[in-house]
Amino acid sequence: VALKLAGAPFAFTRSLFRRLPIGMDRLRRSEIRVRLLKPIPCAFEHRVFRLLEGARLALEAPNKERSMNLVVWLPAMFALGLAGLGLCYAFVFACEVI
Amino acid sequence: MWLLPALLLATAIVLSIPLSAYFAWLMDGKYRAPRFLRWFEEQIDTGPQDWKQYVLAMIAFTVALFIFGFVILCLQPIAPINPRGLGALAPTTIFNTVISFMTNTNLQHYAGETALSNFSQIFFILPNMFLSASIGFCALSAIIRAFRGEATVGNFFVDMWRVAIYIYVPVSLIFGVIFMHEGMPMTYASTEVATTLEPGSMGLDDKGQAKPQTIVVGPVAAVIPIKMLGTNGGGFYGMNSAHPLENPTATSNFFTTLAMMIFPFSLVLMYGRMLGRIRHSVVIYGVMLAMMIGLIVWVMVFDTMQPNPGLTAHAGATYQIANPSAPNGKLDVLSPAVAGLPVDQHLGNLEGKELRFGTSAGAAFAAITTDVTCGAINAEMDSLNPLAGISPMIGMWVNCVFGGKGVGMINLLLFLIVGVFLAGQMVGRTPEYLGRKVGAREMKLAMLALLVHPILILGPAGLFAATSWGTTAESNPGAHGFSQIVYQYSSASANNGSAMDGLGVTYGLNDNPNPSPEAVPMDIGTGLVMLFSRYLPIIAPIAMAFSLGRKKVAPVTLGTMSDNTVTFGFLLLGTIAVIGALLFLPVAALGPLAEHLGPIPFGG
Repeated sequence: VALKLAGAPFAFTRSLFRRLPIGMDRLRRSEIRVRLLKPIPCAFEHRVFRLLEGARLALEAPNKERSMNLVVWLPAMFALGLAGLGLCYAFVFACEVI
Repeated sequence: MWLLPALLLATAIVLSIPLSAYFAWLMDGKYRAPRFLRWFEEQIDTGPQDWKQYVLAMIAFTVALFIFGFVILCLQPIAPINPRGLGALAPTTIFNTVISFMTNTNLQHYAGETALSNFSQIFFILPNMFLSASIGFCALSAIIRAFRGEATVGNFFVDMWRVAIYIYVPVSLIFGVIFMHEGMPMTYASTEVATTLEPGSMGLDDKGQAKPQTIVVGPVAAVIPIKMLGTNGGGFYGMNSAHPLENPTATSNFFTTLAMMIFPFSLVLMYGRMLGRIRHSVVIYGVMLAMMIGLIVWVMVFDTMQPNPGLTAHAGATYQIANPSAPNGKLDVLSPAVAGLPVDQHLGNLEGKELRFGTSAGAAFAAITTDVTCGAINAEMDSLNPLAGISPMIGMWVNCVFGGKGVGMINLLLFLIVGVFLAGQMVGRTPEYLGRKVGAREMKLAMLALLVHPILILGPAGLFAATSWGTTAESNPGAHGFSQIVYQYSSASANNGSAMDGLGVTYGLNDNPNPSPEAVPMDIGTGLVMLFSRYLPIIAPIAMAFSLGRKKVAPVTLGTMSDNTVTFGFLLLGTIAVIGALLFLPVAALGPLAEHLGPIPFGG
C-alpha cells in the first residue's frame, strides 16, 4: 500500500503527460474533442518495471566502448557542480571579510 | 545596408524609455497586482534582506536550479514527450548544459534538435531561460537600493517573481504571437514528415522506396521569445536563429534582434530613474550606445563591405616564423598563390550568411548579440573576416556594451568606480561616487570583480591553446585556431553562449559514436568558467554597493566631479578602452590580428 501511495503522483503525472501531447496536437490540427483518451491499462508493477528497464537501458548505452560510464560520471559531475556553487557561497563570506 | 542596424537602434532607444519607467515603477513596489498574483507574492516574501542574505538567497536558488536541471536532463530517456526515444546526454554535457542555462549563458555543446526531447525543452530549457534571466535583473535592483543607502536591499524571491511574472511573461507572449504569425512552429508534436520535391534526396529505404524527410518541430515559438528577451541565446535548433523554423523571415529577424536589445537598453535608464539621477544614467547610456555603434560599424565595414580574403586572388608570399631548429632561428614558410574563384564578392563576405535577412543582417547581429551578451546567432561567427571577428570579441571582453540584463550595467559600474578612482588620484582628491567617498574596501571589491572576467578567459584559453585539449579540438591551424579557443572562453566567461563552431566541443548524446575528441575537457572547462564568471562578478559588486551606500553623502563643493556631463562620459569611455586594451590586446594580436596580417588562410 505504501508503495502504491508513493507511486501515485508518478502514475498521475505520467498519464497526464501521455495525454497532454496528444491533446495539444489535436488542438493544433483543429480536431478539438472534449472526450479524453481512455487511461492506458497498466499495472503498477509493470510501470515500475518499465521505469527500471528504462534506467537500465539508459545506463547501458549501445556504444559501450565509446560511451561514458554514467554510474561514475554522473555523480562526479553532480558533485563538481555543487562544489563550484559551494565556492561561490564561500566567496560571499570572503567579500564580507575584505 | 545601414538601414537595418539604424532602424534597430532607433526602435530599441524609443522602446527603452517607457519600459525603463515601467521597470522602475515595478521594482520600487509601486504597482498593485491582481489579488491572486499578490497572494503568490505574499507566500514567497520572506521579508527584507541585507546584501548578504540577498546573495545567499540567490545562491540557494541557484543550487535548487542546478539540482532541478540535472535531474530533468538525467530523466530524459525515461521521461514522456520523447517519441523519438532520445537517450541521455553525456554526463559532462549534462554538467555543461545545466550550468550553461542556469547562468544565462546558453553555450550549447549539443544540437537541440538531435539531443533534446520536447520534455527537456519544456521542463528544463524554458524555465531556466525565465529564471536565469531574472537573476541579473534582481542583482542590479539590489545594487540600486544599496546605493540609495537603504539598510535592506529588498527580497530576492519577490524580485524574481516580479521580474519573471510581470516583465518576462507578458512581453514574451507579445513576441510569441508575432513569431507564430511569421511561421514559427508551436506544437507539442516532435516531428513532421514531408515528401521532398526531389524524390530520393533523403535516400532510399530497405524496399528501395524514396525516404520522406523528417523535420523536427516543437514548441519553438514558446522558447524563442524568452531566448531573445532574456538574452539567453540558446537555440531550439543547433543552427540557432539561422534555422528557417527558428527565424523564418526578415520580419522575424528584425523582431528577434530587437528583442535582445530592449531590456539591456531599458535597464540603464531604470538605474537612473530608481536612483533619481536620470541625467547620470543618460551619460552612461550614451557611452554604451557609442561603443555599440562603433562595434556595429566596425564589423560591417570589415565584413559586409570587404570581400572574403580566402576567395580573393592573391600572389604567393613567404613569411618568416621563429623556429629554434632553423639555421638562423627563423623558418621560411611559403603561402602559395591562389587564383581568384568565380565568386561575385561585391556584396562583401557572404560565407556563412543567411541572405534572406539581407546582406548586413548577419554582421549586425554578430555585433549586437555579443554586445548584449545574448549569444544567439543568425550567421556563422567562424566565417567572419579576421578583422571583423574582433568586434564580437571586444563586445564580450569589455562585457558592458549594454551587456546582459542587469549584469552589463553592473560591469560598467566596476569600470566607473575604477575611472572615478583614477580621476580622483590625478587631481589629488578622494574619489567619490554618488556623493560618497570610494574607500579601499570598495576599490578592492571592484577590482576583484573586474579581474575575475579576464582571468577566467585568459587562463583557460592559454591552457587549452598550449595543450592537446585545445589544439586537437580546433578545426583550423594557426591564428584562426587560437581565435576559436579564445572566443570559446570569452563567450563562456561573458555568459554569452555564441561560438566559433569550428571548435570540436560536441559530445551530445552519451551513445554518440563519434564525439569530438576533446569534448570532455571542453565541457568541464567551460562549465566551471561559466559558473564562476556569473556569480563572482555579481556578489562582489553587491557587497561593494552596500558598503558604499552606508557612507554619508559628502556635501557638493566646487571640486566635486560632476557625474552627468559629457566630460564624465569621455572619462568612462577612456577607462573602458584603456583597461580593455591592457587586458586583451595581446590575445587580439595573436588571434584575429595575426590572422589578418599573416598568410591566407588561417594566418599561418
